[in-house]
Amino acid sequence: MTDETKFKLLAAFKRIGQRIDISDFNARLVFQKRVYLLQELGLQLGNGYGWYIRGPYSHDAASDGFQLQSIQDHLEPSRGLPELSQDELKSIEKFEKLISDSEKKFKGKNKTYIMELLGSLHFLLKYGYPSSGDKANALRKFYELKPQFKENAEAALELLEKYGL
Amino acid sequence: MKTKLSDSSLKFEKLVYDSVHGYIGLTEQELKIVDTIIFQRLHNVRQLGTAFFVYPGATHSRFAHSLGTMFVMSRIAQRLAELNIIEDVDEIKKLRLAALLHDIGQFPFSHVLEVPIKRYSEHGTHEHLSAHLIKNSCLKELFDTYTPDEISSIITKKYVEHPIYSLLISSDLDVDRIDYLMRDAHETGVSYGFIDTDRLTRTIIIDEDHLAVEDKGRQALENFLMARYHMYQTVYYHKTVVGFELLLQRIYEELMNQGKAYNYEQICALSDEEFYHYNDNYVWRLLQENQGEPEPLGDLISRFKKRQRLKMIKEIQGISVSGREKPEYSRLSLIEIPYQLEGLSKKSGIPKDWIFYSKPKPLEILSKAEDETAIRIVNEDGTSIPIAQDQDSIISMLYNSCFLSSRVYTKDEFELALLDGLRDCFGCS
Repeated sequence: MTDETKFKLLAAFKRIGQRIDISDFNARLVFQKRVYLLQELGLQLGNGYGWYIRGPYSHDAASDGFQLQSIQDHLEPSRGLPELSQDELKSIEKFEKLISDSEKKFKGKNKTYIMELLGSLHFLLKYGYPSSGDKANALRKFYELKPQFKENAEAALELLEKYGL
Repeated sequence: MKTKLSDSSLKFEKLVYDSVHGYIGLTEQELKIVDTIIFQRLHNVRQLGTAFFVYPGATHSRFAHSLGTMFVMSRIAQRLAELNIIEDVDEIKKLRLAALLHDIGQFPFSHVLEVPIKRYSEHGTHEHLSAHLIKNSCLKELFDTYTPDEISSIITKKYVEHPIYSLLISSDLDVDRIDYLMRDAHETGVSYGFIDTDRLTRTIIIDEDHLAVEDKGRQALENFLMARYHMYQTVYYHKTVVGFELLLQRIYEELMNQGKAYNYEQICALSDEEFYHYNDNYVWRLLQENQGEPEPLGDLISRFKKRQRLKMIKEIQGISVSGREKPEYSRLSLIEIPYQLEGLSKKSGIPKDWIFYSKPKPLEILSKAEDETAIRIVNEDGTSIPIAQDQDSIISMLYNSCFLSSRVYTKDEFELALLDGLRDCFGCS
């Protein structure tokens, strides 16, 4: 991320009432997938994501998470963060609705599960098998790599489609 | 139809002698790629950007590094083939191509200019540019068995058919790192970067989709991890090297603002011939053409050309354990926030153009144990654990430690005023 996009991310997290938390592995995973989904929903953060064992992962996002974690408490509430545009606010609103819907849909599943499910499925569909006729291959690969999510894959796919992902 | 692996499967058309690895073989397809104008451009892109100001020998090119990375990838791929993890010589060839082309889109002065370019374009990375070139330049005609999309997806770590490929491209023990540590040590003369490449590549293994090293490669791995740490401290984060990086970044950003230097969109629109000339020489020409510009640009350019370094007036660095930073480091980090920088400028009377701040990514000795990029050690009984958790490994003592660095630079005559400003604004003495 650039300096500006880094603070834009912080502004987005404050908007959704979340702190930047990378204190343990699960927190880092949730952070990574949140940033990924925010980006895919339209927040321009410029992080390059690659495919790793637990789904989409960005070294830049990891590093910036570390840096943001240490300064987020030092900002004055009313200043310091960039203004988010109307489009960016809409993206954040979509993200909040997506998360809220997914928490209802996958009741009993924790944040780590939900974020890895949504992030991984989306990545495979969009980047792993980008052509529109390849959905079947994307799902096949998803079931192969992440069998633990098989029962909820169709529901996750519906959610992603509902929010234009 | 898959091609079965055999010793003669890789037929080399040419052997090139490399100062680090010895003879590197090139297949017919690889030779055609190397002979393109797009690849030949890499002769004029320095691997280490501005490090030559401190280490005069650091003039090696991305060309040599690209060949070297391909060589290392080939060694590891052959090793994985011996273990039947890769069963097809086409996969080896694919990985070789990805490694050969992984830096094809490097900007002039390598990572230095990526900072200002990315500031203005979210796609402005050398990785993204590499993928663009593979799919749109003369290179795209040179892929037969594999598509440009396949090769570029390996480079951008989006090749989902084999998740392990992402780790070979970017992880604690990736092929890029193995080559550049050796090469940079060799060319700078800084001996901390020398590693046992043979041992590492001969003991690499895949364990449940994680990169791992056999127990007999333990010392080579530990040495590799420490080598990286020492090279960062001595070369990549050297205070004078960083100072010149900041200077060049500021110059290029100003020239982009004035429409005199290419931004990312313009770079993508260049023809192959034009892109060939978008190298270190392009930047030197820009400096020459703009040296008469009014302050501060003219002064910045003059400093860069004459090796008049910026003065480092504040440095906070050290090892952080379990995320605990020195309080001063956290306070100084606030300078990144635009209104804080403005406040500092007002308080000190120093124009923002002359306040330079560097805070590179924290350098972890080891990735967090559970992270997918973490390297594992395979014990004699066949079980594996992240090296960060291996009590028999001295390197595990460094788990949860990282090296932090934060620096402020300006020109000599502003030193005292800026120091006062840092004290007043951030409590930094």
